[in-house]
Amino acid sequence: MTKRVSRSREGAPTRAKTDTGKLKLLLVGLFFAAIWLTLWGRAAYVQLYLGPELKKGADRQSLATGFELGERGRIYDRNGSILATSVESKSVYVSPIKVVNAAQTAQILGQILDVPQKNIERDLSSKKGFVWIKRQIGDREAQAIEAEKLPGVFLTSEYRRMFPNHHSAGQVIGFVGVDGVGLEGMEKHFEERMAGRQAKYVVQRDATGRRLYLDDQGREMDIRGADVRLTLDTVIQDAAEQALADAVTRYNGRSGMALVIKVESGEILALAHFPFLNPNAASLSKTSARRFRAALDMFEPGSTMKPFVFAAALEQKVIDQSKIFDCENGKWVLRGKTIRDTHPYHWLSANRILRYSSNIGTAKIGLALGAQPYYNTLRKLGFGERSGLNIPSESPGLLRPAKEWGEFDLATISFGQGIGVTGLQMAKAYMVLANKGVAKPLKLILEPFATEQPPAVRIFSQQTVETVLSMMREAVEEDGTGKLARIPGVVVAGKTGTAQKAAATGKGYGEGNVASFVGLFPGDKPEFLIMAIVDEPSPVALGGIVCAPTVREIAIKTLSYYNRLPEAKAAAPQAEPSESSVHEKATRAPSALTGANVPDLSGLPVRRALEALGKRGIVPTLKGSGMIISHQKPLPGEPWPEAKSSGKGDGFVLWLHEGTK
Amino acid sequence: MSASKGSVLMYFCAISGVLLLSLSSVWLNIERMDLAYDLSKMEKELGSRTALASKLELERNNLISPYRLKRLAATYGLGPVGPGQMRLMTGQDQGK
Repeated sequence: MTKRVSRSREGAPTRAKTDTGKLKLLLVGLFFAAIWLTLWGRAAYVQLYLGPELKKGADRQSLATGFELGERGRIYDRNGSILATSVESKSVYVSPIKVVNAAQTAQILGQILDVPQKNIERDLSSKKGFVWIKRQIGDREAQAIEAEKLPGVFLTSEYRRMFPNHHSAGQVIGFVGVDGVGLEGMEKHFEERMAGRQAKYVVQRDATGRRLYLDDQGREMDIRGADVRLTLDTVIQDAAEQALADAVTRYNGRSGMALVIKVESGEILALAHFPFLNPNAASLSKTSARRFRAALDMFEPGSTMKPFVFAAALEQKVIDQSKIFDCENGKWVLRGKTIRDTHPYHWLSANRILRYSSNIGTAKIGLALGAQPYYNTLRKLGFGERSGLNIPSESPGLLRPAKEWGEFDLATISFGQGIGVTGLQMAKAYMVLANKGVAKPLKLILEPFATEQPPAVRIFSQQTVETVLSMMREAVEEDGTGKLARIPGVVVAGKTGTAQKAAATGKGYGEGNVASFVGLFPGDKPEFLIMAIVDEPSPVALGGIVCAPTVREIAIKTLSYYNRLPEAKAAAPQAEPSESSVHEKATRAPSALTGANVPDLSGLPVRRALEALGKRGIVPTLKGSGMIISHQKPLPGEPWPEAKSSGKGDGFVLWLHEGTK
Repeated sequence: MSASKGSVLMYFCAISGVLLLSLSSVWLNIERMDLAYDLSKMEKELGSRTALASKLELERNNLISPYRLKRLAATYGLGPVGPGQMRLMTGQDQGK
């Protein structure tokens, strides 16, 4: 290895110079090392010492807490139609300190929101940081406000409760306040279940304040409220409400209620109240219109109670159907007080007492039965206790203990005076008769499903119930008080009620009455229980006149909805009260139906053509598809063919084609 | 000499790796932010469409409510069926 030694020109070695270079290199190296260490030190100081504090500061700038409020659960009817739902709507608020021109802002907001300008100006002069201007406004109003871009005016999203069926079952469904909290009806009853929950989570903000989706943290929970499904059917409900409204209006009643119950399951298909309550505008309604009368209002039922004393007396073998009682020619003094019948009768058999609704006869049966057995029966039927539907503030009715009853009390309670019941209690008691003597709970809620079902209890023997039902059929099908409830082709059992109302003074009875009718359809094997009650009808107050036609109308629509109405051939053609009105409304009625020759049916809707031919007892054969008659056989002008008893192929053929109606 | 080359190569690879990971991290962060923007936008759109769907469903339920259908039926001269007017349509009746 050769050693290199630099030499100077004179030949002397240059070691000192080399040493200086190394020193310089060392210094530079140290310098950079110092810088490097400083940087690392600073980085370590920032990361390790200042890190947590800086992170907090950064998070404060870039992260924000977000809230999400879940939608309130919906209310459905039995078929899935929406009865109540929540939709997103905007609410307007202002931050007064950020408003630039208060007068102009108030003017614009006033015009868009239809709010007095003065009110808005007052709000804008507030020293608060947040003032509501109007909540849950329409989409058009929200768009108009957004377009104005007013400083200090903001929109926020809220849920607004909407009821698409307007007043339908308004009192049953109830309504919510502006904050979405249930205040009445099912909305109140299921508040905890249906209320939307709140999720709190963290979002990242960018420099412009936009919020970014980071992850699901905090939002994993289901914040949507649970749904509720009722047993109501909007179609039946509408039919009941329409018929009830007609009756209350026609007879100048104060209010009314109607129920339709499916006997097999105890499900309430309709629960109508009048006056109506539109939950969309509940705040505009009278307090009296908001009452869930069927559960809250107690009334003396009158003669609709009679079948129960008959059933109890039959069960106790106190009477049989043919046992006769002296009805005292319509006036009977008992313990110094007079009991009257609307018509004078002398000797009547038990079945005729119910058919003609004799108070005196029923009072005598009640007296023969005795207070304690009758009281026990009434308790078993559910009187004197709540119906089990858990309606908020439901009334248990008024049924005094039997030991407090005098002889006159027993007599009057037998025909439904001196006892207070609710509409639901009455329906529940009639369900026992409709269900062949076995008590069945009423149902208004399908979902959430009630896990605990009370055991079925037999209260009357089947034979007793059959006897009572036959008496109730007589009341309608014979010359009884309920004959206006007859439906051709359908056996109807029913009972009318016309009760006196207690005087406002609290002593004795006043002028007002409660008219009622309870019908079972069909009367031999009941499938539907329909009840209508009208409070203080006038000038006519009889249940057989005021309520029996109402129940009939509801029953026709209910039976037709469930395909239980007799077909064209089975019905008596003369008993069709609404047929003429239907034909009057027709856009084109088939002409000369009563003439000797066949009319031109082409162009008619198939339904109307079938109605027209059915009236003559002809069941045509339909060919093709569609809803409009294209042509026919026999041709117009030809003689009518003979109707065959079979009902099929009467020689009349209708060809159909597609049409718009 | 080969050992020092190996060391240099190792340092080079390590620095490259760190750089690559850092760049990847930056790239992922940018992508994450882009996705966050997109998700926020889509969430907003989903919210508005859900709200619209709710409103349309409400409107549909209102239009098919018995209350509305009854009024519509009346304009076409249609009314509820009465006793003796019902005819249950069977396949045989409808013909071919």
